[in-house]
Amino acid sequence: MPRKIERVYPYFVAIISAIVFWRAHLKFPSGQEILSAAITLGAVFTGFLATLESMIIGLQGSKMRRFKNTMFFPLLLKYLREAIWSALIFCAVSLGGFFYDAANPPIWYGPVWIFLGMTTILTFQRASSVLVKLIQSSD
Amino acid sequence: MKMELYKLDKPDGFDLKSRIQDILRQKRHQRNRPRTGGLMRLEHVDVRGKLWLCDFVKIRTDHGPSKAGENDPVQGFELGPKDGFGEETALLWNTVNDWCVLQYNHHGSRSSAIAEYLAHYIHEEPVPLHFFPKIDDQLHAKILHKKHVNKLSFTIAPKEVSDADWDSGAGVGTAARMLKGSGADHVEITISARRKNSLHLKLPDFMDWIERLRHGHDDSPIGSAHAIARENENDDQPEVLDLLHNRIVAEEDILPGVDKRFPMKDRFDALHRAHDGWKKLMI
Repeated sequence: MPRKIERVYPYFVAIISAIVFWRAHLKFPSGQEILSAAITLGAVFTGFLATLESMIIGLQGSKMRRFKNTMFFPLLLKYLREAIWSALIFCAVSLGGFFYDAANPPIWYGPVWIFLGMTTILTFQRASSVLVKLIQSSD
Repeated sequence: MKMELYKLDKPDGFDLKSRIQDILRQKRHQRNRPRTGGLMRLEHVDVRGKLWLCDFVKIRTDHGPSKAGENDPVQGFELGPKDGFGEETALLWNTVNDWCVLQYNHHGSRSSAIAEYLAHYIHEEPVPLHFFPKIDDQLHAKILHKKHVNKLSFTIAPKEVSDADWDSGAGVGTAARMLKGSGADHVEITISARRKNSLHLKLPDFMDWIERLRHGHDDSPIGSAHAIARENENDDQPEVLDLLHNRIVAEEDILPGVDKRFPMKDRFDALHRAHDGWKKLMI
């Protein structure tokens, strides 16, 4: 995938999803179970990505050394941090949802939650797929 | 020390002398330019009439050798945080006819790197500069005569991830996939014809292709290239031709100094002698 697309596609897809949610007048699910599930998901993603980041920094071997000397390595770390921050913000916004009336949240809450949820999933997918390829490639 | 003969190709209006003088006027750290695995710069210039002798240094900053004694344990050199291992390469430029003699240092700067350094030194004023190797006429004539190629064999290094992929816009995922590669240092490709038949191939064209692949690379992807060829169908003595090592080359023994480096003056003198010996070939 070209770098220009790789950099923006999680945010692009997330914005489109939020707009579709908004324009289609979809209703945010009532009840607080979905918020609890979202917090759990965000926390699992955060922990998993933080572990992966420390793993990737510690990976050795000639191929990894070569990779670390290129401009791709700082960008990979940036992808990881974007994924971690997305998951953390998603957790925080989901936690904030408990302070609203579950049956009647503010009108902006649904699209924002969808945007953050999609960002979290897609930035996670982006970082983890690169990391899996790296682990497969390392000697 | 091994030396090769090159012809410098530069635009008519371009004043290389001024560019070299401009470079030398700058402080040492300002002359550094990034190069694979570190930096390179023009370190020193000696002018001997029409001959300009330049010394280029490639600084390896990523990793390097250790110091080892016959009885002493292997240990590292004491380097500062901004230091690296310097690989020196001397270049003689005849300012009148643009023939050049270049020291061959496997770990140092190659002709393409030096041309690129001088050509792109001022970022806003790039100039097309090329060093073309002088091909051994005898071998070249032999290659032209051996028209029936029975076998062709060459080794090529698999693609490795580098900042060139970054420049071409590849994503991190693509780079990670590329890293997998073949795991081989070199891939050997052999193409051979059935007995008595020959490959429909012109060796000079194949050599042009190899030169194009080698051009612009510090570490050429082509490791070796050989052909087994005959003059005609009835020639029963096919000959093995080395298609890579067809350049004009001279070797001279130089005594290393106490620091185990070839002294710069001795390297310059060797280039000067090679230049004088090759005057008849400079046509």
